[in-house]
Amino acid sequence: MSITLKALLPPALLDNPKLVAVELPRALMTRANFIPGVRHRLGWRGVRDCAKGGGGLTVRVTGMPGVYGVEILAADGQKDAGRATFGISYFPMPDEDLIESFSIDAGLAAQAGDYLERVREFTLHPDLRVLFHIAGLETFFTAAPQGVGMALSAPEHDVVIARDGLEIQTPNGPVQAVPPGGTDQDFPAWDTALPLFNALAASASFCLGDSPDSLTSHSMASTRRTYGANARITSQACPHSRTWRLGLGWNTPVPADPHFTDTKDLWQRPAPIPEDWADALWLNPNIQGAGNSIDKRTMGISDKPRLIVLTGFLGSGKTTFLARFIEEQAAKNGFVAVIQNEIGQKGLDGKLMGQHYAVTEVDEGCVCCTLAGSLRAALSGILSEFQPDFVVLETTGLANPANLLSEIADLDDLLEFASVTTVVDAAGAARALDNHEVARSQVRLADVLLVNKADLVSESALNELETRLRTLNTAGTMHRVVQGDIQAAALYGVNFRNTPSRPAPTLPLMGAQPTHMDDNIQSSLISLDAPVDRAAFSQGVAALPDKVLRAKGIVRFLDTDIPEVFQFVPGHTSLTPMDQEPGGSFMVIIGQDSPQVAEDFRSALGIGASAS
Amino acid sequence: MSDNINRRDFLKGAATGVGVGLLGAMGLYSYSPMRKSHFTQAERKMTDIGVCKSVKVTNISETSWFENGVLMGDIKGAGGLLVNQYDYNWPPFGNGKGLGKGSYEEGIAQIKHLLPNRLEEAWKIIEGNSVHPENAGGYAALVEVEQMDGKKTKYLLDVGWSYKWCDEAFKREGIDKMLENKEIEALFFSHEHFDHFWGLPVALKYDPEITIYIPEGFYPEGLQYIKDCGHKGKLITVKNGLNKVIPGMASYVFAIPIICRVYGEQSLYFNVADKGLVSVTGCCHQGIIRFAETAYNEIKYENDKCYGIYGGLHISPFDDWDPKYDDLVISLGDYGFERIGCNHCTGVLCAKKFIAAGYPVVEGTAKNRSKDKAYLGNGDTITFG
Repeated sequence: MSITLKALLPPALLDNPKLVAVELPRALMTRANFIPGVRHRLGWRGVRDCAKGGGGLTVRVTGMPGVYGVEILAADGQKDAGRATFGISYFPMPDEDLIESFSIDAGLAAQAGDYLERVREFTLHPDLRVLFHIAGLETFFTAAPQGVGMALSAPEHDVVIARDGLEIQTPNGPVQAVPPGGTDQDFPAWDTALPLFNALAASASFCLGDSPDSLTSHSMASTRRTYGANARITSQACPHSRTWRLGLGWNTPVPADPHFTDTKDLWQRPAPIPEDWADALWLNPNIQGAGNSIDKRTMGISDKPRLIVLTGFLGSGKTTFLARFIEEQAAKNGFVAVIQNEIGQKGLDGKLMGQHYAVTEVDEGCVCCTLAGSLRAALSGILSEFQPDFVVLETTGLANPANLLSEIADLDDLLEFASVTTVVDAAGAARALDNHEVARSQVRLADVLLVNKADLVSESALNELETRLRTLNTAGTMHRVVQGDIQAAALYGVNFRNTPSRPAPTLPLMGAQPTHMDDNIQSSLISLDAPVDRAAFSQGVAALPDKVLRAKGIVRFLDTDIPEVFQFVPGHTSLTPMDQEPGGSFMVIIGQDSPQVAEDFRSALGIGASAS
Repeated sequence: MSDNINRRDFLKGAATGVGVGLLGAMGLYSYSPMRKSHFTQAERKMTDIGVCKSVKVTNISETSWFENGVLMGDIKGAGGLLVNQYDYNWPPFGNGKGLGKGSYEEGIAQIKHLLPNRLEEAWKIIEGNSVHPENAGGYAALVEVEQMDGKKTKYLLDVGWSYKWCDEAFKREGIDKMLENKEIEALFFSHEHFDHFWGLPVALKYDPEITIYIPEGFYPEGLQYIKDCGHKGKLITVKNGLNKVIPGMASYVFAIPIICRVYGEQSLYFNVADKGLVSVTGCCHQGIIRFAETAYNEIKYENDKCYGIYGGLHISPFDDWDPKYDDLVISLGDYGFERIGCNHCTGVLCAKKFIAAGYPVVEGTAKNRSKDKAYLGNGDTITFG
């Protein structure tokens, strides 16, 4: 087999085998973490350098709520081979079940207020390194032929006995926490350390461009430790536990260790991999979908992703439109994060563990997540983890986007709001609009209306529907589509920089008055033919009543030549200078009694009433 | 305590601080050689690098590329961030075969005969063979160190990327004349990245004998490029760690993997009399915390104070495992810098957050295609001391 180390470490370093062994874990983690899609699939959930202590890393891995610590213990090497050993610690979250298995002292340390602070620089704190150490990691490097090996060593059970028992002071007086001769700790070290080793091994396969070609398993009887108040720690045989040493080799087998009495060469390529390892992540060096997600922060790029809120009544074709959109963006090397704002059937299971979102799918062009916590917390996490170019917030067919808008407005430090896009089913829309306020609301608040399945109804029916949509929404742009198929640029403009367009004049209502109970939401247009005073405008906006759901437009101010795009949802206003010349200046107000609200706003600006 | 009581709940109410438990009986490791840990506490070395009177930095160019979208499209299209930078088919190494199908050898063969003196001709060829040559800018800075006796020494940190853009920038700041007059002592490279290193012929055109310092970890293509550009002076490879240059000035090489198959970054440290430590960085891929902590542990500086910083302040690719700390703004605040001139890969949003947080950011003039006053932009200067 041939592995490529030169992409991982430079030639100058490869000439020093000891250094290669020392640098290997950090280099593997760094390279794998450069690519969001890759790091997610390899199981990394955050890596941090212990900047103060030097030589330590703290890591989180999929499926484990706590934080792993990796620190260099020793290294040696000659001209043609290098070896390094690392200590692995596991710092559980203070409320994690594994706290129960650690020693009382470890549990106390984890309950302290500064625990996580100290974990961040665990190499500076000998007590943490002693109490939470769970396993050893060895790395090997051979220069000719170039090969890399990694081995994990840990006992199944790491048992500590308190010979004299352990008494703790509590607010209610002293408590015998461990009886004399009792078990202070019985920790599942092997099972806890394995997820970290698997992520590291999978990263090695990815970075080296090949999977391992040998698997060795060494073991010995475990020992347990006994301590007393005034005695040295002693160790005795520990029944029911073995200590394992699992070795993976890429073009070099992991050498034996004299401490481990039983040695088994489990597997050597080209033999088929044993059943137990058939699903191992490190078997596949190729990770699909790696190219399209990029860690922008590594480039110093802090562009905010664009947000599209996608709504539409049940069965209108949202999913089809979304699939087309993702496909189109992926073809342009875009990466889309799709967020479903309600927990799906499979969203909340034990795997979530304090996460604010669950990733249901990652592929070449997108990551799909379901929300499990607050929108803000979930978004922060998703943006940090994947750094998408677009975020599509897909609401369920029954959700009213009005409820979302103000929540979204508070996210403007994370996202750039692009559009509320509503998909309407040409065939079924009339009934939905008759019977459901939510459907009407979705239409009213849209920036972009997609009349989907336009091929299924007659031209006259389409015209009738569009007229009706226009009465609900004078300001949005409307497109007829089939199978949700339309270029994103047609909807959102080049680079998603579409600015609100001046609405068409309102058409008279066709036919009979609607019979449904309506909460009187309308949209009203204010023409802003002359530049306005910024202070007066701000005051007018501040005075907008709660019943305004949304306002938007293009405004020219007296103090600058550059027109600005105005966006408003309750509690939030944004004004963004435009980079293109608009058609005209106007403002649209959507909400209850909007004609009256618009009238009041005009007065605030000192503009006389004008027909609109 | 009986086994059916949940330990966690019980521990929460317990006195904090460690009793006579396991830790009271430290001396723990026994089951394998793994457990022999050396509890080395990092001693501050406090190396004396001397002292200087002042440091002035002129930003020749901080704009590495002009359109983020174009650059990201190139990187994704070529296969992502782990691709060898010489394979993107970016200028100056274009071979005409398109994105992701480049190579150093094929690219340099097109222009080698024109380096370093006939750069306009070379750039014409490059424009025909490369992907998005118009998007290339570059990072380069002039550093002037004033000694205690008033003597001034000039250094270049990096040379940018585009021959065309960098030559214009060099002329704008008079760097061409300084090089011709042998006024510039040496050229330091922060790292091998395209936007810092590939503009090398522009400097060599005016002074091919200039001494060059590179951090350990350059790849063969980069070492060959220095030769192919017509360098005739001394080339010094700086090993990882501290390297004294002149009184009050040192460089430090960090061994770190960087995107596009680059390894190692060199930063500059200055000890300014009565003020404190001043740091000048290219990108600071090692992260601001490691950068500042390294200074703290390695160097003795005036008043034991971090005084100023100039350059790119990189956000680490490691997305921290605790979101509430995932913020450069917080970490920078811990060090109490008194003058911050940030640009390049700091991220404008980040720079604006510094300003909002009340940090002493020295604002720029947003000229010469620098985009924002929150940055110390192209042609702006900052003086420490």
